Amino acid sequence: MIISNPYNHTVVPFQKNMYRALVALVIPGMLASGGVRCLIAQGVNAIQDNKISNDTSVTPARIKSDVLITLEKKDATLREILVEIARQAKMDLSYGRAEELLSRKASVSIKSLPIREALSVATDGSGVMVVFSPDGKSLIVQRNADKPSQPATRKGRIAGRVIDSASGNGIAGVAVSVNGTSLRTVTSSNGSFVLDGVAVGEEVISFRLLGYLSSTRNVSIAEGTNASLTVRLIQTASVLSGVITTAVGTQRKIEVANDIARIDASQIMERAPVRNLTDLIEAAQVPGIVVTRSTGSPGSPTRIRMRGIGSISQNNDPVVIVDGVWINAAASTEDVVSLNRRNPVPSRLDDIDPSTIETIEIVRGPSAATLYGQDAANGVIVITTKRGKSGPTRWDFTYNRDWNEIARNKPVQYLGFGTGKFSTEPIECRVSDVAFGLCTQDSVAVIDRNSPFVMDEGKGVRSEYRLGLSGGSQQVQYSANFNLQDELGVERIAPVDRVRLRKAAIDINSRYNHPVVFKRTTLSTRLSMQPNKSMAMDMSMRVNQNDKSNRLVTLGGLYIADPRDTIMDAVSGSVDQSEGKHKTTTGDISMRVSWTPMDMLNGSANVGAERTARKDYSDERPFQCFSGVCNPVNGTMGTSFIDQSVYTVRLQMSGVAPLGSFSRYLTVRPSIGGDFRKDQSATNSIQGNQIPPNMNNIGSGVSTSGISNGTQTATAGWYLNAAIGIWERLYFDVGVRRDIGSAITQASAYPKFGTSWLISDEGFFPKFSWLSTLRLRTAFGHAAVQPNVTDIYGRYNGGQAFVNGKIVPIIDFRGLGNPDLLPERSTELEAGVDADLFNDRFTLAVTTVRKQNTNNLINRLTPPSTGSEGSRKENVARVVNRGLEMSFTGRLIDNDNALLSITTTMSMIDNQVQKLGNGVSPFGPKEARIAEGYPVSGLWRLPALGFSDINGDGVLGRDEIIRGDTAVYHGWVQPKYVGGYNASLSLLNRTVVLNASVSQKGSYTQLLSFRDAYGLQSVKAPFSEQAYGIIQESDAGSGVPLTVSEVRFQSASVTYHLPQNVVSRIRSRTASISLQGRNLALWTNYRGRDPGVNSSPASGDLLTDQGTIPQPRMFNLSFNFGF
Amino acid sequence: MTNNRFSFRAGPKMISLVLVLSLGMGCSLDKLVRVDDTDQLGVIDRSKIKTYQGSVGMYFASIKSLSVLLDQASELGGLMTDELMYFTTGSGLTQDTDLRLARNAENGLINTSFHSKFHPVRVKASQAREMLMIYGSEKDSAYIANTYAIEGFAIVLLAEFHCSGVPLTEVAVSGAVKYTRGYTTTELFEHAVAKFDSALMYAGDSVEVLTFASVGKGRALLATGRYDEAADAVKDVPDQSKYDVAYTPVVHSPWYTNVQTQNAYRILDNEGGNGITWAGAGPVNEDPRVKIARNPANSADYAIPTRQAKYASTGTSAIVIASGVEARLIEAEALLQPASQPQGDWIAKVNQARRTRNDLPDLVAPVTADERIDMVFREKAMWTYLTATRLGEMRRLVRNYDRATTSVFPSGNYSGTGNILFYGNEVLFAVPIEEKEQNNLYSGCIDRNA
Repeated sequence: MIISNPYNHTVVPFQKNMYRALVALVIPGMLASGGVRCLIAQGVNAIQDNKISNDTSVTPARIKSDVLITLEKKDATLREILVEIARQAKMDLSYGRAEELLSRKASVSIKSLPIREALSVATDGSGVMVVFSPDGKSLIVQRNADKPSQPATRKGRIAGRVIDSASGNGIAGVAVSVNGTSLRTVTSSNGSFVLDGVAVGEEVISFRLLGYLSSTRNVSIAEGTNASLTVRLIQTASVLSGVITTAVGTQRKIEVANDIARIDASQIMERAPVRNLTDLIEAAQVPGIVVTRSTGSPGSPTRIRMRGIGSISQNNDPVVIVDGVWINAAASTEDVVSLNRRNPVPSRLDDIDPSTIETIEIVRGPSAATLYGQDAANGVIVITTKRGKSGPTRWDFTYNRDWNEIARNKPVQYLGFGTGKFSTEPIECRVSDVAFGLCTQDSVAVIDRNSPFVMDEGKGVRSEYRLGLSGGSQQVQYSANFNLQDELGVERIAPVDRVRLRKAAIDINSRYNHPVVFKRTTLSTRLSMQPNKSMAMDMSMRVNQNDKSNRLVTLGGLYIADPRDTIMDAVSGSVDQSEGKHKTTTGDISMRVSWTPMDMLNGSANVGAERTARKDYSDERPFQCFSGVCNPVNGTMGTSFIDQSVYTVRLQMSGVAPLGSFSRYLTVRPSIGGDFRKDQSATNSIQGNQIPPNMNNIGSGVSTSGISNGTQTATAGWYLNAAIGIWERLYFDVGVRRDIGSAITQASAYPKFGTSWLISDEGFFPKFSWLSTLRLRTAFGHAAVQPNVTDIYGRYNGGQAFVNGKIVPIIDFRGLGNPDLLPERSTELEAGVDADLFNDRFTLAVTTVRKQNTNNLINRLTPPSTGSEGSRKENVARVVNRGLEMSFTGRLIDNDNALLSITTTMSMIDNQVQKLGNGVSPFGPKEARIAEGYPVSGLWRLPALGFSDINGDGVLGRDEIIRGDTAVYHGWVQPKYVGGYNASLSLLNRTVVLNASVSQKGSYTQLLSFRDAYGLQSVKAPFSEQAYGIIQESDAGSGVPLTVSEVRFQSASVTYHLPQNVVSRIRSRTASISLQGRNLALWTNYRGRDPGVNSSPASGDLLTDQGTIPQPRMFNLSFNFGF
Repeated sequence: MTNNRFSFRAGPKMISLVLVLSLGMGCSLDKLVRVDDTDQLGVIDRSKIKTYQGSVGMYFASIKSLSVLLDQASELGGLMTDELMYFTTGSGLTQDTDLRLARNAENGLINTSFHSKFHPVRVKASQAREMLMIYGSEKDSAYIANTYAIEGFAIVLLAEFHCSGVPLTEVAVSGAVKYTRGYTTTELFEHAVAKFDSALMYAGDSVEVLTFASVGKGRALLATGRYDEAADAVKDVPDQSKYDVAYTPVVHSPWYTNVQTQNAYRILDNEGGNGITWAGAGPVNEDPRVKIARNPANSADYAIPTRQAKYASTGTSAIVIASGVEARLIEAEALLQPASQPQGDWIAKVNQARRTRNDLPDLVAPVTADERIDMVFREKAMWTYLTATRLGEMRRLVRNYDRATTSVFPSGNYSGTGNILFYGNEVLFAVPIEEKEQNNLYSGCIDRNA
């Protein structure tokens, strides 16, 4: 099609046009492949040779193709007419070999026509045509080779403009075609179009653009005449409409080959109770995303996994970018022990106030994340905060009040009792204890822990205040948001324990009345400036502080009624009164400068820094009790200081390749960018041991111990990318990134390639009334995760030793490094189809994914004979995740009074270690083996191969079990199937909004607490269960793996927007009240407490809910006012 | 021809300029990301290792790791033998060890709590020597000698505690790793002898190191039945000479904590039928070399007759691991070859050792050959109580003197906690399965007999 262009021979020869196109296409590829400098030089010279010969005297200007022309000429030469048009448009005029035709005379009458149409009218039948120069600033007069001087016969021309029905603005990029022919064009930037060579008679003209309802017009064309029409298109919610933020800037969704989910934060927050960013992401129900909570306790961390688990030892967390800069969100999986006291650190991700967010884009896999650099292999969460809005200052105030309660009864618990060999007191005596000879079991208690007397969970409350302001002028906009949250967890000291403590004369500090208290304060500001048309600046700042107190009283001895009807409420053994405090202060600042020196080129620079200062504190003050008499004994105190920071610099420049007249059919947007990121952290902790009860400082202990260490990682890279569009329906996205890191300074290249094809716009594609749009897409890309510096160099630690009666400094060999390490490479191939159905009322997106992690960086045990500690990193194993993702949205009812919309998302994921590597045997701990053909984070257990009560005493002893030496696979901890279902109904002119969401997870493995398993507690259980229990407790520890599924009534809400007359009466701009509920019901086959929580997010991806608080049921009342 | 500044020419020019600038930046990106000073990462920077101070620091680290090894080997060795008995607390490993059931090479605790303490000693000593050879001077020859002796001693302990088939992987400071096959017990002792010979070559006039190397060599030679050579190796070691290591002056060692303060273990007379009568009937009969005390803090101790080991008064005292006393006992044992026809005044050597204290009367030589051997072994057990010596000695009784395992190690009824009534059969520790993870030359224990 390009080659047949007849208008190329005079001004811009075809070969040069073609060469220019090739340069624009080939340069990025060549740069990616290495020998770049000379090729760039060639490209530059080639472009410089493409000079246009213009002889106009008209003063040039910027884009003038949207200028409206009014012209009244009688018997004027065509030259005069064109000069006048050029003058009005302030454009250059250049002539080719059509000059001899310009002396022809004609009369024209044009009134306020866009320049394209004006030119069309002016040159009609003249044998010449006028085209825009590629930069849109010159008019080029050419001979019409097909119709040299003959007036058109039996052909006509249609010119017109397509505008948005709502705004009245012209719409660019609308595909205009004559049905049943190959005639087609696209509208210019002001929405105008010209279709030449239309056959006379009745024709049906189609107008199509993603995001708008398609439209057709019947046009009657008489021979040699022109038709003019204006078409209004109505916006719709096409699955492909809108723009998304990619690494190279903003792109239309249709151009991006990946399925990148875009979350409108305000929309979600209106329909679901959102306390933090994780809630927001979870409520959006993005397919391929699994959110797991560590516990239902306030401020607890969460874990987000995108498209499975690819890395065996490295972090599987996605990268988080806020307003163009990285933030440290890796702590989201951290199960930080505050010295001796477990005190999960809140996710840094949740420090972001969700009400300040405009959009979140979920970039799920490396095929889309390639250009984001190292560590983006697990996906990227791109957050854009809200800009201020021009106008007078607007105030928004929201008050949220939550009531939390534990929704699900505790499961029945079993507890074996017995007599110890050296004690006459009844003691806890389970099957494994019996087998190990520690006791003789005489009974098993069945404990209902839901009795109010023994229940250690009650009700929790949370208050949240949000205050925001926004305003500014056309040049400067500002916004500021303040958020304060204060939450009391559902934990409490059980009444029975209070009684026992009172009997033991232990006075528990009143602070323990609310064992878990969490406070979060956030202040966010953003300032946007546009000093001139070509420059814009944005500056964001955020300060956040979290305070969490976690207090626990653990009583030794037993308090429940045992089968012998003895209330053993006396405290015996130890009483541990401990308190863990956690305080985090985070500040971040980001600045973005964007520069558009000309329409074809724009650049941006992002600079940002985030710093987090964390202080953990623990205080354990135990008592030792004998026969109910308790005395305080030496305790432990400790403090940790953790300082983390992230620095980001990102530079990016992109433009539109000048392709001359090809630009109507071909667009090439090359981009180049580079970034630098540095993460560092330092930890210093000190612990005082054996601190006397009357002392209150760390130094008063018998001894102290401390830890001091840190991490430092830096990555830098640059990329080239080209987005190529052909006929506004076929798009290619080609790019490559080269990266280096502090651990591996040899650059690695990561390519990407994507194709997006709007096949429904092709002429050959059959038309269906029910199918509006159909897009096919496929994308392929690489990304990587780099190791740490210490993984390369090995570890020699400093310290002290006592040698020859003196303290001397030492340099201690601790671990092997591995100088041969490579980055862990993640490769993803995704393919999908998007469809708009029934006039865009329904949308469907289906994506299939294959993600592969090769050179997996794993902590492989080092043989003890090396004298090194533990393990070292090695590149071993290939892990493959295969997935299928689907989303379906629709508007079942859509009229002025009611809107009923539904959203369904589903995803399936399958994970497998495909290859371990030559000579590598299955490795890892017995309970989480890494073996070929099995998933990462599978649960494994040693089997009982046989058992026999050889001595006939009725119980199994340890030597009466044949234990298998090879662990057996039980299941995968990630849900294989995840579903989300949402329905939203707006009524009464959309003043009342009702919403309900249900989530579903299927086929994953969770550990049942050993106390919930009868077979592990009773010697009367079948021998098979006993044998299993004995083996697990002696070798693997915690619980029985169960394959579970769950359906959760995730949320429901009703929101009432007060009518405008009421709103005015209270002198506000907007007002609404919401009643929302969360975690309202759970249906599951899991016998434990909550299959959706994981108490050990830091220990890889193994799941257990033991000892944790399940997700509470929450009711929320929210008041929102805008002033 | 055009006056539009941003026409066809300008855009590509600017893009090209940016490309060139960016590529130039790419050339030096590695400087941007390099982390040169790893001190802040809690890791000593390599440049600091390769100095004289670094060499000495590594040398001291090897001595520290030796104290850590002794701490663990004393505890586990004491449990496996008759020195200690599992009492109230402890992991499955300690109870298994006491029961002589520690047969499961997959038991992760064997590696993390015990076996992993052995190899760092020899690897650190070897690396320290590697650096001292480069950055040290002649005056550091005693340090170099000591690294050889430490390495040799670690190999002796590896051989005494483990099955036949222990690899001796070499790790250079550069990070280069050279895996080896599993060496037989005899080969290990021969390796050790070679190390001690090297130590003697460098020891100069350092009496401590000479003592350590000589006694260590004698211990290794005894184990392989080369009695005369053993006696010859130790003949010049003065009676009062000794080589000791201390854990730390501040923090109690885990061993001390377990044994002394946590009442985790007790000491029995005649444990498992074959054990030494450590305490006799009461405090008056206690051997002053092995302090025994009742523990009044725990009433349970009074519920059943039990005694608590009390080796060191504070838990921070130095542990003697080679001495002139041991040298005399090596000589005595050499003279008892064969025990039925002693080659010299072996009892004089025993008493010469006893006379290093003023509270031990001379012993009278027994009549039978077995009694003579028993006396020498009992004497060594008393002198070296809880110093990780007893297990090697008991295995030697089986291996060199053809004693039945059941007549040497605690056997028969088990009187500790639990309902397992009988001692198991283990007389050593398996090399943990972790050794197989990457060492393809290693194939497991060759022989699990004594």
